Amino acid sequence: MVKRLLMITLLLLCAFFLSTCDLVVTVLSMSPFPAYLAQAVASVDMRADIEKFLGDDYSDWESDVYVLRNSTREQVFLVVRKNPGPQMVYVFDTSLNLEVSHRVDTHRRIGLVEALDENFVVGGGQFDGNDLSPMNLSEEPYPPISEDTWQKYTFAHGGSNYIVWSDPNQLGCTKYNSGWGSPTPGSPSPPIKMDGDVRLAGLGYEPDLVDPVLGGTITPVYLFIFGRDGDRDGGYLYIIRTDASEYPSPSYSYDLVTDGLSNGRTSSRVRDVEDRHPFLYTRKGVVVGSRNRGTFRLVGLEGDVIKSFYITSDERTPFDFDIDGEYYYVFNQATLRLYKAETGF
Amino acid sequence: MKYRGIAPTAAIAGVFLLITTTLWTQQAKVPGKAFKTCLFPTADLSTTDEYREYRSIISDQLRVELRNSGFTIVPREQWEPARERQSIPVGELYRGDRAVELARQVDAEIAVISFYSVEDRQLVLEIKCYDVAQNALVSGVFKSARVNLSVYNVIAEAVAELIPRIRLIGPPPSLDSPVVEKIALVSKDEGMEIYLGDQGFVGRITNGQLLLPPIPFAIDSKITIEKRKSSYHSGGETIKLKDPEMLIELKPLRKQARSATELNWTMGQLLGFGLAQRFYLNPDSFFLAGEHYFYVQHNFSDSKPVFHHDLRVLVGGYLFSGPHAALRMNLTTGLGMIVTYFGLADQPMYADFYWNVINSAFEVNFRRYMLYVRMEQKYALGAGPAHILERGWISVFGEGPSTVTFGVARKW
Repeated sequence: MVKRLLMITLLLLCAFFLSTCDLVVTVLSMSPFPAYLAQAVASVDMRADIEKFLGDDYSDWESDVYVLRNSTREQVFLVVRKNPGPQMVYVFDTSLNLEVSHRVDTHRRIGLVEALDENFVVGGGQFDGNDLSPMNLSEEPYPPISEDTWQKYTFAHGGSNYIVWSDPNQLGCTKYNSGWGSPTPGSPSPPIKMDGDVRLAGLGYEPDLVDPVLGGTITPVYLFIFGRDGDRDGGYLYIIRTDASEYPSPSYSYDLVTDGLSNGRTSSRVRDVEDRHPFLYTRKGVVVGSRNRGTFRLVGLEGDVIKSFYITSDERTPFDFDIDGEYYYVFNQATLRLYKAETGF
Repeated sequence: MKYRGIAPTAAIAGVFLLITTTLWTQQAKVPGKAFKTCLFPTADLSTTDEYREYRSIISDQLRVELRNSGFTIVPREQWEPARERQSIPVGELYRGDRAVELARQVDAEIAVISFYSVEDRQLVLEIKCYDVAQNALVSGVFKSARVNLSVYNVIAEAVAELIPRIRLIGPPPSLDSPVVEKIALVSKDEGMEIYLGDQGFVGRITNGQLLLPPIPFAIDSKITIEKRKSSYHSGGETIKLKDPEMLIELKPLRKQARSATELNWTMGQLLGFGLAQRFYLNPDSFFLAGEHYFYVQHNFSDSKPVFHHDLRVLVGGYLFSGPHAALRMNLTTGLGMIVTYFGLADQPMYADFYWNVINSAFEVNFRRYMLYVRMEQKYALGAGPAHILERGWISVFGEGPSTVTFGVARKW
């Protein structure tokens, strides 16, 4: 009897140990179905809305998902775009309650970025929390009538909005002094030299952090620099920490990738990444696509790989992460459902 | 040299046994030595030289087969002086009397001659074998065929037919040669029929045993028996006769499986299991199968699990090896449907249809059970009123390897 009890106890301990082992959990979690199905904590059926929008042109369309934040909260944006045709933007709170939707009568792909105040920028329009309205920016690089809008990134700091992009051999930056009204004279400037084979592939920032050493508030801006390894998909990534206070004309004069920055804020090289999905910043790390289709990696700001995880092998599935790295939002184009799923980070 | 050196295939052993038993009383041929053999050049009796190349083909084939079968070929240099002394033309060595005479002078035991002719593109081939000591024709093979690629097959067939008969040539067994006096076969397969080469049916296992009829097999020789029983796969068994009295326990026959029940696990679907039932259209060969795999998709957090029921119908068959083989391979293909429902509230049920393009399974084949590993290639059709998977290959972790399933099956 005692032996039997000991054996059962031992088995339970083994099971407990195995259940805490990441590898075992990963293996047991594997599935031919998208991982987010089993990570979902909420979902919303968009079939009726989307079918109403698409009408008879149901065959060719695409979608994007964005999680954007302003000073008070995060919101989830689902963009459905006819091909060709207009597009529809659906705005949700983080519990996936549909708050508002808006039709954009342009086919040009719109990029959603974060900005100050209550205003999310939606390509050629801005969202003020209730509705979308036309947005007229005078600066040429962003966002109007530019084919590479998707390649530009924004951050906000000190009451201004910034747009950052990469030209073939340098970073460019435009500063908007008040909201998105007008750019600062003199910008964009060529502040940072870059090797021609790399490009800015994403950006993350944390507004108004207290500097643990110097005191006061700082806004670190993390640039995600992607370079190709020669083949079509594969490449490498550097995460470069800069300071928002130095934009739009930061004083860095080094070659970012080759030399790093003077104070050593360039991460180690992250190898075997691919850029079919944007690099996404969370407070748990940067989400980076890997060369194994559908598998992603969470990378620390120093370039250390924290973990690998699987979302889906369907490349058409759009997703984005919340800033805390607790949840991600993903849209399934087959079921027409938007899911909120746990990251497990 | 013993006959151990001869390729111990069941077919040859069967023929050997057959001829051994039938000719014993005439020429009583006990295997046990490497016969010294004179193989004379193949003669072309055609009216033209157009088909001369067959001479070397036939001679070479005969030489190779005789050597492979353990015969000692007398080199031409040994009989050539005798031929010259007697002024026998090479072209007449297809005549039996000349060949036997020449073979005797070099102390050969066997003389093999061959000749052919081609008329109107029809080849006629004859190979003869003489027992030198008896000065007697032991065996001959006659073949004819149209001159095309099949000629080579005909030559090979002729040689293959002749070889087993040549083995029978030799002196009759001496009276003190040890022979097996009694062979008793023991088996658990009650009613199993035993066949013995040309003897054909020799008896049936009754009360667990069968006493073979008295046939003077030589000690250390081998016999091959065939075992048959209704609803069982026939089997062959080669037995070495070591003692005058042999009690031989036969290996049991394998029952013909009409169906099988499978239990399996698939990588990427480990929180569950599959049950399948096979129905053999041909026992242990071609089959239909229905399978249901239930599994839970869970990430061990606060989120709710997802439940999948994978239902499929397969048709398949075995390749390369028969039901007695320890290792077998089969291929299957079919159609399937995965029904999915959620632990999360307010979610609909989905059904994903797929084409199970090809499964290749490798089985360790036991008497009643099979252990197998199966590589599966599934292609989602992306069709149906409510589906999750888009059209494309179904695999775990994107472009990873095909799905792998491990399983066990019980045959019925």
